[in-house]
Amino acid sequence: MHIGVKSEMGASVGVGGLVIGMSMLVVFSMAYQAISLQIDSGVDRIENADEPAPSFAIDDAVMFTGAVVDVTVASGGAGYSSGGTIEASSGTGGFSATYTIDGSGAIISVVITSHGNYSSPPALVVNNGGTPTSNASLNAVLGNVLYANLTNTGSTTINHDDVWVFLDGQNATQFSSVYNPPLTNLWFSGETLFLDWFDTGLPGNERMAVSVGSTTVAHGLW
Amino acid sequence: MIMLITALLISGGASALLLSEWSDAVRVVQINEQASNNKDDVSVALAGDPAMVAHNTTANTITLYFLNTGSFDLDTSNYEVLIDGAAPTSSTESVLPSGTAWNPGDLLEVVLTDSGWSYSDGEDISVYFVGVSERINGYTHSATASAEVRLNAFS
Repeated sequence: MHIGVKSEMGASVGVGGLVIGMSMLVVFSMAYQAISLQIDSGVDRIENADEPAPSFAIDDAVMFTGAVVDVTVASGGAGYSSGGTIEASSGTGGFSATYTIDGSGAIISVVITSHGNYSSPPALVVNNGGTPTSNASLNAVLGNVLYANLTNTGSTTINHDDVWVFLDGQNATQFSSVYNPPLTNLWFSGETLFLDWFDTGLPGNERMAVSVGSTTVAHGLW
Repeated sequence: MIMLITALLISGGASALLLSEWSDAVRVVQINEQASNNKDDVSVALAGDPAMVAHNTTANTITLYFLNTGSFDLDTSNYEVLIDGAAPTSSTESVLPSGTAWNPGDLLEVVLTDSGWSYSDGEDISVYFVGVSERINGYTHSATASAEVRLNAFS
């Protein structure tokens, strides 16, 4: 009798222990899943908040509406030597260009190095181009040139494709389509980019605005 | 012995059921949490010069630019722009630089038309935009942007 009571008590304690142990395992499992969820959610939010907003400045911006944006070669002439420059025959507009020649010394292409600014198309001459046997006929085409310096003042690296340029609030233009980067398409923190945007007609001449993400900065063109 | 086995079976079954239900609950919470996280990645911003918003007084149009600043595509056919709280009579849109999908980083050029406008050059107006994302894991999320802008009127 005494042994039977002890045996029943032992079985009850054993069953109770097993039930409690299983319950604890269940609670532990539930707690583990809940904590995992919280950690995943927290990590996602931290990653989302990781990237600060872009920050940049337009240091200066100016537009010349009488700039030489192209030179057409009506006649390349003959007998020119390489190494000379093409300049305006008079005035202080500031135009300058280099050229390439073919085997006969005819000018076949022109690379503008300084657009200058004029009220009417200047006459062009070749300086230090040797002794031509036939003079070239070169015509200046006037248009607009926008010069601007932009500095990335934030801590994020900005892709040129993410930068949009507006003139007088119109004609959204992707920065990468008007800026020729030397090597990369990235705008690093602290880097200043010099924009030399020229065309026969730009869509505005009062204000320039640049948008990157939710950040927009504008500057008058003077 | 019978009591022990019975107790183990009952508590084991109850545990399995409880764990299964709890897993389902956690999965639902996870899906909603993911949807909430995705919503944080759906955003839009007004782009362009806020001091020179093009207003053609001849064609009665206002041209605005909205940038997809989120991580998911936005729907170009399901949006509304309010000017001073009122919807214009019509609007057309195009994605820049190209294409028809309004991807992250792309601009949406919106040309609004309303013959009832009588705004002057230099006048400030209130712009409100609301749009929705494409479907993300079965959910769509809204994105809004609002700003005060100055009109650059021309004819």
